Amino acid sequence: MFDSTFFFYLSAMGYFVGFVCYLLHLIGAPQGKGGSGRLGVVAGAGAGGLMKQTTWGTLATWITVVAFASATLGVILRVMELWRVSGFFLPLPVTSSYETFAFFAWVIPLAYLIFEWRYKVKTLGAFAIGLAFLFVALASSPLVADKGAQPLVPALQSYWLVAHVIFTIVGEGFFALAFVAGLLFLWQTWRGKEALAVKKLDEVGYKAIAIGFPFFTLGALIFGMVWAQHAWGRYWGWDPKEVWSLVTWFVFALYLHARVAWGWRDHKTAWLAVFGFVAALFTWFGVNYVLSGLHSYTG
Amino acid sequence: MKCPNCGTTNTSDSKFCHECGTALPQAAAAMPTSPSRDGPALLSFDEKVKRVQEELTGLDCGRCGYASCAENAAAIVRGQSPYDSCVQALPEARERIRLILGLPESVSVSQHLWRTLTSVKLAIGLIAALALLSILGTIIPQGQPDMNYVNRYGLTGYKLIKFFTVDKLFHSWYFLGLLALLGLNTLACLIKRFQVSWQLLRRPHEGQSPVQLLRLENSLELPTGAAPSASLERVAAILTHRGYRIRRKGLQLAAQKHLMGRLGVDLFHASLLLLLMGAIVGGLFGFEGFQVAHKGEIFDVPGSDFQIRVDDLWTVNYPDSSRIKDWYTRLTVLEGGQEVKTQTIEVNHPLTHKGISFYQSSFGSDWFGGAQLTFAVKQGADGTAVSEYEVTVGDTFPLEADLVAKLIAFYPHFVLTEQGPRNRSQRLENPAAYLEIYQGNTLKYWGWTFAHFPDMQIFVAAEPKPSPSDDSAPGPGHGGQGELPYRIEIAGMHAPEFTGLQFSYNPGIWLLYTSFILMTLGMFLNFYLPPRWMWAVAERGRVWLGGKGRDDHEFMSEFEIVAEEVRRALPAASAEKGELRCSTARSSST
Repeated sequence: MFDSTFFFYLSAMGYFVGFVCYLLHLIGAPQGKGGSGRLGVVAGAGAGGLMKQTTWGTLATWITVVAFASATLGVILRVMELWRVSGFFLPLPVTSSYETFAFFAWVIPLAYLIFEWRYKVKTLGAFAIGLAFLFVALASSPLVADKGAQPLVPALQSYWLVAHVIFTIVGEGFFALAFVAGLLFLWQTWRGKEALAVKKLDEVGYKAIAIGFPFFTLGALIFGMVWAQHAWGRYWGWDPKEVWSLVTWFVFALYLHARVAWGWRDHKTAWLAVFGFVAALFTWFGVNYVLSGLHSYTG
Repeated sequence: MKCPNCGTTNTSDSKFCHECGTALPQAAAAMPTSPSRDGPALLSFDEKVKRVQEELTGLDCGRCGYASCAENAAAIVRGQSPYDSCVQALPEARERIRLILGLPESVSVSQHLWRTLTSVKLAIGLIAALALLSILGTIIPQGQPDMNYVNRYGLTGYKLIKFFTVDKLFHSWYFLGLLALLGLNTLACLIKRFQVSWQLLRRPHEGQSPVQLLRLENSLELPTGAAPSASLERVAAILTHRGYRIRRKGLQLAAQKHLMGRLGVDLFHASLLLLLMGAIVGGLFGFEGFQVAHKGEIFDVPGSDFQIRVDDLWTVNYPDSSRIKDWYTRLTVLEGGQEVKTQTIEVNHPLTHKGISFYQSSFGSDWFGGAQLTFAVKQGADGTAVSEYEVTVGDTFPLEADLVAKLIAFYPHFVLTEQGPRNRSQRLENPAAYLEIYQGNTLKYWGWTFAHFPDMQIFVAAEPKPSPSDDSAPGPGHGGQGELPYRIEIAGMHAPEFTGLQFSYNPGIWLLYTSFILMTLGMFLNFYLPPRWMWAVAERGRVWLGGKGRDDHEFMSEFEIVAEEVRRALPAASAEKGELRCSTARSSST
């Protein structure tokens, strides 16, 4: 009864309520107002419209923290369940579709809560927690078979699996933040807001990518190549999954270079962040369902 | 605003480059930045000569062909001497002379080539092109038989794919060409950038005047009762405590930390080049192969002087489960018939000998070729068991005195297609045996029996018919009179197991692993150790503090803390609290 799926399920409900509260906060947050500008003593980083406190906002944060705690419990229980059926101790559960989705729905709120605390941006909450809800809901839906802990197939019995998947997912968690920041930026400016008023979103998106990019490079590419060399005898084989992770990496490399070389900001970088995350998602799902290749360990 | 030092594009309002900290030329600066109409054109001849002469060294070295710098200056303005004729002048000085004269930029072909090659824009274009081609390479399946392309894309599509070698896109000349160009571009950018990085690391960190400090994004102006040198001492102590390295010159102080962070980008790109080298070495001198082997088999390893013997192979399941836990193969390396070493490999645990690694890649049973079946023969409506026989394809077994059954074919994965029964795979999906029953030499009955559907067997009386071959066995459902008075059921199935061994030799792998380590280090330096600079000046009962960091947000938090510590450490001169101004480079553009 009180197994990992139960706590993931609980966190899904929590995320949904959190999402609704963040949405009410977002709608209720005052419009307009520029960024921080030159402030006096004790400057608030980017104060103004984006960090306005509302009751809904406070509530949303606490609900998210509780839901995240439940998901954490789920993750811990899952590690123990996997240990029981497989005999392998993996520090984090990433061996099936169900587990990776649930784990992703653990990483996004974690990354988001860090950013909310560090950069005081609550407006991202609605989209970020909404996304986390979608993933844990997807995991709990009938679309994902085999929700229980399964013994590992031979190819997955490697600690490189853990390093490869965890770093990739953490990287993608931060890409997800950049994605929601980009979406929110595009949405706000489309609604007629000054780009300046939501400038903070561009900055937060950049920070998220600056954190996510090393994780993704290390996880998806470097650890992936080391493992491939170790298990298959070739570190790179132009397998569709490999190519798509390279494409994802290319998009974020473009993001970083365009920022420096062309001074791209705002709309252009927001679009790139959105494309980058879409490419990451396609690498994750699209390749499994649309294209075929070596990486089909999970349904 | 482009930084004249390192080429980084900064926001238009930045006063200092956020990458290297160089003061950026402002729009209001004295020098015209372009050969505009109202700039040089308005200057008189004498004024131009005077200005050009100021840019020349005054060494009167004569290497330009004129006796003195003054003569050359006049000749330059008259157009008799090239604007860059002074070999002693710095490139920047020559550039300024060009601007004074209002001459268009003259760029030689090699210079132009170098500029293109060192531009990040080229990198962006190449990355975008490679990304799009890569996507194409996943949409169009790679390395398929020609017929698949014809079926999927039609004849025209097939011809286009073949012409542009899209079926081998990742090894096509244009894909590899773009990759090589990106490598060259990376190398050129790296050289250019590293020169600046090296300068930055070597160059002493200069002090700044109070006016310059107040132009920084983060600054503090504080009146204090302490003596200037004592004030600076306090500031230095605070900054040292926070890990800054301090340089003092009179009443000016310059501090910096995480300067190595600047090298992160250089290291990262250098590691990409190393990776490329590793890939080239591996591609040129390495090889890969695949070997299917049965127990006891010995095979030669191409490109080596040794052989591999497969001693044993087995599968381990999870306890009380049909799920496979792992596949194992015990291999022995033979050199000139001598056993050198024996090792059991499993998935993710290869054997390596003389740089060649052997990987457990697949495992299976020879169902199609070597199946061994047990048939249970039954008789009558109640299905009384008569006897059991163990046979392989081609064997016969007796049903009664003069009636003999012969196993003609065994399909582990039986499917019925329009062309008749076919075998689809080596997996035991729908095992079926095709039998013929003879009386003497006369074929009497023929038909199929299915392991998973024992009731579905069909044996029909034979018309005169051609003997079936493996891939064109007859379909059930038609035939002559009468049925076989026996039931022949598949009671057991065995097949010899084989192991699938992937082997590879890659001499470039250590270059690759080294590049991975450097890449990780480079990313760490770049993203987690961003360089920061601080300056302080103390004079006339005041202290000015200014600073900047590439990570503006985090730097601002640190600056606030430092400012607060300085404020507490220095005795206040008056009730005046001083002014702290903080804003990140990007949000200060209000």
